[in-house]
Amino acid sequence: MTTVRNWWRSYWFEPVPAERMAVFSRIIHLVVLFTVFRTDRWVAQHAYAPEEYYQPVAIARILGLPAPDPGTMTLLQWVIGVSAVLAIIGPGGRAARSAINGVVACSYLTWILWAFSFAKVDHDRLTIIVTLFVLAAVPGVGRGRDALVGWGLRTVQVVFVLAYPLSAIAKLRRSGIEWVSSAVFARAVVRRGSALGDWLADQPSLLRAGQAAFITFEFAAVLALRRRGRVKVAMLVGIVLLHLFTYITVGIHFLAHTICITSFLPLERLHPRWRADRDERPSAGVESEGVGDERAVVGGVAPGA
Amino acid sequence: MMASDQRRWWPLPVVSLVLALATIAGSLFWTDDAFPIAPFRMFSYGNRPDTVVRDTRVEGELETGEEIRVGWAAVGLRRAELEGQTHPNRRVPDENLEGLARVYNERHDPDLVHLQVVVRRVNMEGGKPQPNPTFTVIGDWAAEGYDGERVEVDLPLDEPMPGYRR
Repeated sequence: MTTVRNWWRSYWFEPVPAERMAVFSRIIHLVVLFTVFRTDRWVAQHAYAPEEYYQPVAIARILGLPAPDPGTMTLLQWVIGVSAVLAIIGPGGRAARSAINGVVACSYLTWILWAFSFAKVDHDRLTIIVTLFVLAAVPGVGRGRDALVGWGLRTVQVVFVLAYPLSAIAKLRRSGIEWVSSAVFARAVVRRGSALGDWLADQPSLLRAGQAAFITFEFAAVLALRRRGRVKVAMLVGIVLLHLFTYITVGIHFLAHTICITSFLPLERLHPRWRADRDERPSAGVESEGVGDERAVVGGVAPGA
Repeated sequence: MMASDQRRWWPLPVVSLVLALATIAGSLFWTDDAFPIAPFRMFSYGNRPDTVVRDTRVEGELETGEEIRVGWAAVGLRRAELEGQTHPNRRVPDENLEGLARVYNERHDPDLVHLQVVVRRVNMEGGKPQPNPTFTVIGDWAAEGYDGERVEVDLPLDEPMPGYRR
């Protein structure tokens, strides 16, 4: 029992440098800006969609969220834009950062609800929604290793990785094992097209083999939730390759989801203060941790900056 | 980390676990309506290798007589959203067609006087797309007084799509 409890605590509360969360937060908020003002501009166009096409999802109905119009959509974009910029560059202590990140999380959730309340849901957005609320709870202020940061990043990692086996389950639930021998990839290529995709469309056997490999890997990806080890690293590399394949063949990047893979990286190395602290330590450089690395805990929970 | 901190923060992993379990439950039992904890069902429909692949487009005629392909942004929707609310092998209800023309005309000049929803059908054999796709008009709307050629859409009007509950 004690072993299980220790494992549980060490899995969820692995102390991680607060600087990692600070860098991760900036990356995520940059992606929020990039998606809202660049790749997701189709969402803003929903302000002009015929209202009879508005089919709010359950949360939107519960919240009583009306269909967007040009005024409310523009206002929402301003709120997301200003709050995300503040989240990236703004100074402030833990409470202020949490408040700003909370505004980003709530406004981005509204954006997503307006995006997917017209009869098409892109399921990958769960990850960034969870991430934004995690950043509101644990904004990554302070310095040194922090177990709360460890909890926040672990939560993001779990949601990120679960997307793959759950995608595989959704395929089996809807189509059965016949999904493997179906023409689902060929259909996607015909509808979306690309140079490589068009070539692959003429190789149905290759596409079917790809489907078998795809769904097998989706199940196996759960191994990326191991705390460390080569298998974990291999799975993360595989996830990157999987998304690269999807982007090259059908042009879908899942950016808001895929960027969350950075939660596995030792991002604190990009943080000037962490590098300065490391240089000052007598054992400079030996305590860095990355994917699959385990080091002794140094320091404790830092006070808010 | 102090042991007292661990005790104080015990609800946090429980929150994460509940979130993970809810997401798993969503995948096993719920539908898109439950988004963000809905099934991850993009590309989950495995169509048969000998089937028809359809994609939808909107075409129109301006009051100047020019024929155009209506961009999705111009009607505020994505292709999959129109398809998700319209069975591709049935007709688009007239009131929905009128809405597409209305929102286009609100932001563009010259106006559309004729609008069609067209489905491109590509036959597949053994999972391989065949040449010579066919095109079927599943919705035809025209402004009052339009005297150009129209397509009589007499496909039976299917039950409305069950939307997110499907």
